[in-house]
Amino acid sequence: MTHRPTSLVTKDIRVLYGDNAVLQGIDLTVAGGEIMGLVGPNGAGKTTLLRVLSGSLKPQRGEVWVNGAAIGHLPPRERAKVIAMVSQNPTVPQGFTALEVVLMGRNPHLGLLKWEGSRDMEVAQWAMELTSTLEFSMRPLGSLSGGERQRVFLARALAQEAPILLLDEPTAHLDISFQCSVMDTIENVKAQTGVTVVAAMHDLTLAAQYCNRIAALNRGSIVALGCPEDVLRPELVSAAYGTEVAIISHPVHGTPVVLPKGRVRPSHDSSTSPAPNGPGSQ
Amino acid sequence: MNLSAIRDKPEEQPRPAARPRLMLPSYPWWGLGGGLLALLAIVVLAGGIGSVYVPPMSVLQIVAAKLGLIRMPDTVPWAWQTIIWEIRLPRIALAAIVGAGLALSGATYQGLFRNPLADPYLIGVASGAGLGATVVLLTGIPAFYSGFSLLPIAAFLGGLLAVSISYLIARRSGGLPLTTLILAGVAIGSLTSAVTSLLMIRANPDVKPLLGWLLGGLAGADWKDVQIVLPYVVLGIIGMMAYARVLNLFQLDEEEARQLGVSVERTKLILIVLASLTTAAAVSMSGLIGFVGLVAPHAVRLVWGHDHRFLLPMAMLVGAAFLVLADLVARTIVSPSELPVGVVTAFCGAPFFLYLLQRGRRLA
Repeated sequence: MTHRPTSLVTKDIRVLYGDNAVLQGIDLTVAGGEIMGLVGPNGAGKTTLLRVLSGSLKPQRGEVWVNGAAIGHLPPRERAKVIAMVSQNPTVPQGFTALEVVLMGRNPHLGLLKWEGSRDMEVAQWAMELTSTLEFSMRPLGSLSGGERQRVFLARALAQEAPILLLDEPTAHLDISFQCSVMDTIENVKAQTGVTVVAAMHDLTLAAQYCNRIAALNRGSIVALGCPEDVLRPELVSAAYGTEVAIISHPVHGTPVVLPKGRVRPSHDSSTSPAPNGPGSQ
Repeated sequence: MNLSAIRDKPEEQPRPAARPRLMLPSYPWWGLGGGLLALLAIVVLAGGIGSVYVPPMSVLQIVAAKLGLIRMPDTVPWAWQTIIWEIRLPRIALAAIVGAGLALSGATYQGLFRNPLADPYLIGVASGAGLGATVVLLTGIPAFYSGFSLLPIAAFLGGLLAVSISYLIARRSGGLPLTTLILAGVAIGSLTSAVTSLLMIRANPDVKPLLGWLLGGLAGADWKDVQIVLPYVVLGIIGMMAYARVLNLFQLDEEEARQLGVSVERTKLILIVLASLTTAAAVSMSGLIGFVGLVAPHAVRLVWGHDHRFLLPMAMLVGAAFLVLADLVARTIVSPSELPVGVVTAFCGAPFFLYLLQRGRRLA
């Protein structure tokens, strides 16, 4: 299954909570088939922007266009055929197996009295193969680990067969192996289907590794936009996050690796501790 | 044998690992079929039990003969025919329909509000319906109008009014917080019950029959009552079953359900109206019978799982069987007098509910 390249454009988005502008003047153009990372400190507006993009939140000003068509007034069913979203902490419904949860992603393609048929099962099979969730398809979702659940929710979004995939911190609460496997899966999906991905990422290094472009948000505005190497510059990241960072090059991939400086525990102070590897470190 | 052909065969490709093939879990028709058979057996047995015992075979013969399937056998006394067909069966049929309707509405409310405690009584629908019916009964508005009863309509309006008030109080821009809805429902329910009591005490010195009706009773039911309530319940069944698959998506966050293509607010409104209509029809004929809408869906969920496509019809069968049995107890245990069936359902329902809660906690 491949999607035709589907772009996502916002123009001058503004969202207010009371008198506070949570998002202000957001102009974002996501090209068809790219992975766009949204980064920024907590409260920068990443989740709010994703909710606007998904149509869950109506902005006070501005509009979202998909391939040139405004989506604000689409009924939920039509929108769900175009945009799939995995929120940060999806509800784990009681008493449903992984397969049943994935099949819920078929809802936009099913009428009121229609139940899932063989075509829906094929799509579920495809989605669960891609996300390596087939082996526990019959187990209750509640009995799965966090990383397994995250992949099931990704499979549910894939089952929607939507050309746009929105992900809110897909690697939150996962250990490093699951972080990579989830991001590899997303990369695979993109390569296979040409889906357009917008992902809020709290891990800047992972964002740099997997995203084609990165939009940095701070206090509700986009402060930088471009390829990871251009956006993840020390002065920019330090200013946005309010902490000193060092940025080095990934020893394997050459992508930026963001390291918060902070402080080191006293015994590791370079002047007092012996060099870890003895000879050669002089 | 051509060895060279074997030798020349290209090296075998590593076969891809066998892929598990996903199978759609088959719908448990056998469960529904078994439930239906059990319900029919209960109906036949309950038909035979009473001040005059009629053997199940004779009950079956009478029903078959009345439906025109067979000729009435000479072995069946005339009195039995009257007892079974004119007195007991309409009452049992009404119990089954009311039980099924209450259980279905309860399951729908619970699914809709993602709250296992939601039930027609908790969110004020039943007491609102009771108030509507009481107003008609007390004010002397003719309850029947050329064969068409005002009672279910008045109960429906009362129930819908109560749930609408709860709904409007709880509704905020962009959503419907469930806790607020249920709290508002409890308050509205208490208020309408109080108004009902006040009306009864002020209007009629002889409130005993009405009080009995309010506690839930099926005494004196005839086929006309069944005819009145059946269309509403059938409408409710069709409507709610149509939304059974969508109800599964309501087990998610509402925002997630919307992202998966559910028109959340519209679906909620339609289902609330359908469930309230079904509840009101049941209440208008049988009074306030508690615990059926709470216990039946719970029992089904604990034993058979959470998919509403199976949960809704199975809960109907369980609710129908429960109320038929409860009514059997109500009319036989203190014979020749009777208990209000609502008292029986509370006596069986409350401990059963507590037992289920215990069991569910242990399994979880």
